[in-house]
Amino acid sequence: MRAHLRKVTSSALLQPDGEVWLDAKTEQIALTGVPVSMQPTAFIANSWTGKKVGVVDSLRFSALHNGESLALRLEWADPSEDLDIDDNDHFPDGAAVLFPFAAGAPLITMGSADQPVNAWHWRADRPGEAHNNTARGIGTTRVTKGAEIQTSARYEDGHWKLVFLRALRRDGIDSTVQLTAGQTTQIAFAVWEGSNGERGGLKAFSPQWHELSID
Amino acid sequence: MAKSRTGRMIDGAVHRPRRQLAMVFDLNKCLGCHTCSIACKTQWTGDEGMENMWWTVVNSLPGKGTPKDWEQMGGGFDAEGNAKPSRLPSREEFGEAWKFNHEEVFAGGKGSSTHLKPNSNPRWGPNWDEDEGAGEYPNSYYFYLPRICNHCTHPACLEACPRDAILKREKDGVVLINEKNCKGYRFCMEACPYKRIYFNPLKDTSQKCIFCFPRTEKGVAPACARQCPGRMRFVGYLDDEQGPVHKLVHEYGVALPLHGEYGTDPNVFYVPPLSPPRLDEEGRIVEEEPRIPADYLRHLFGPRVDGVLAKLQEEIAKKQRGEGSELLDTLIVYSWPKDIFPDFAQDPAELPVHASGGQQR
Repeated sequence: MRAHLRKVTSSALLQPDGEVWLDAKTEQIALTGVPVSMQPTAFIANSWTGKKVGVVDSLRFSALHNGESLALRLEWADPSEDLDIDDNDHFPDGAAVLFPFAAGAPLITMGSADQPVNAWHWRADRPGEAHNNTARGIGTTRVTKGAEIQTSARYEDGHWKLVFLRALRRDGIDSTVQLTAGQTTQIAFAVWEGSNGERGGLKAFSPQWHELSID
Repeated sequence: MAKSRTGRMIDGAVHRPRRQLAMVFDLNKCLGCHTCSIACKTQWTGDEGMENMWWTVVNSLPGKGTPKDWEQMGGGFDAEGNAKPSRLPSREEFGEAWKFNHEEVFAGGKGSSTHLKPNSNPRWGPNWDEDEGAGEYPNSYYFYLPRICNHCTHPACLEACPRDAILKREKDGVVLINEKNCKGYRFCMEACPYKRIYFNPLKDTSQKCIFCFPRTEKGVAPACARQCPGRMRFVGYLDDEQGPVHKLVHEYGVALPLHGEYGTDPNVFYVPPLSPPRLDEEGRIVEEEPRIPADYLRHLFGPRVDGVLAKLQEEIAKKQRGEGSELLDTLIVYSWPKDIFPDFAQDPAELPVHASGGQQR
């Protein structure tokens, strides 16, 4: 995927239905459920044996930037809009994009001790801002402040449309990836379907890194 | 990141803490007054997001308990040690913190035309089936079962958490949720076979009984135990041979785990309830048949319960004959607090108040 340059405001990029996205190139990203055998505890594995993990099987991905900020647009089909954690068995819909801090970080294990990864994590019950996570292996995500990843999401006609927007550079914040025009990095995706009880490692994800070139 | 080992099954053996704090609840002394619940609520669960939490509850048995029908939900381990699936209890099954029409009744001028009632129309709540019990008159019966987190030797919650957010302390076996690591996934809540973990939707974390560790670290008994008017909550280290907890669990063997078959090796033990004899159809006493069916107590406390009840009866008979009974003397608690929690007899009111705010929560 190439994130083309568009001379528009960041707030225009942040609109999931904004005009700027109409002619943006989209790429279909296949997602697969995290296998039960990879779930980090026996309880989770035993509880999900024979059940479908990761019910969202694909998403459409677009990317643009305006020289200052990078915008990533995700759209996927989801028959139910799950917005809250008001009851113990309510889990919200969610999505994340993942970047390696340096090329070669392992995706399947969410990074490693020496090769951390950076996840921008949106949840339907937390509108407006994505959590910036760093991870050094399964079960190690840590939320840190200062990355300032904005989100805007719309649920319409059985689809979620979501934009992540972040300044390319976040100088002085070393817990999030630094991006520059002209750079090619890697990106991966995850989607959680709340109505299926998906949270944590119970999710659909893209099992390979995809290239992301910023014009 | 290295996982803490305490409380985990590693190579077929559970890694035990150096010492284990435990409680014994003497069900023959529980009044069902809920002072324990209020003491805990006042101490720990007053914040927003915690309104519906009762880290200690007192259920009337037989009954559906808190949350409703928790015994049918699942969790814990099977006989081979495999983690068992469960379902998540809903807020309604735990019972919501209802809002009442205080304003209308006390200030709205309707004090004589309406009554104090919840603003919602609840169909379940904590202690919804209080004092209902079972059986037909004159053989109806019930008893009280106080419940807290069992601070299990092999906690299902700890094993279920994918984030290592639950730890079992090496120094005293207390099981705690590290809220900094918790992301509110609720696998712990699901895996706990006793369903003693709550979810705080405002903090997006799970929360539960902490065995009042900030108190025990100062030699003060947990709030539920110190405030218990029936003086039925014994507190101590399981390996303290001079203490009442060790004596009741290991020496006299009269305190039993609740649903030991759940496989988590709980550290709250119960002295099972004695009951008066049944009456037959002519109203005659049937001495050999206790009113609480033995099968029901076996279901709760396992096959050893018959022997325990027989032993309690024998000791009572000894005492009635004027002979001594160390066991009964232990259960009676002649001298409070040293006979009931000897290592935690410190009066919290006599602790120095620290400049940082001292005895506040």
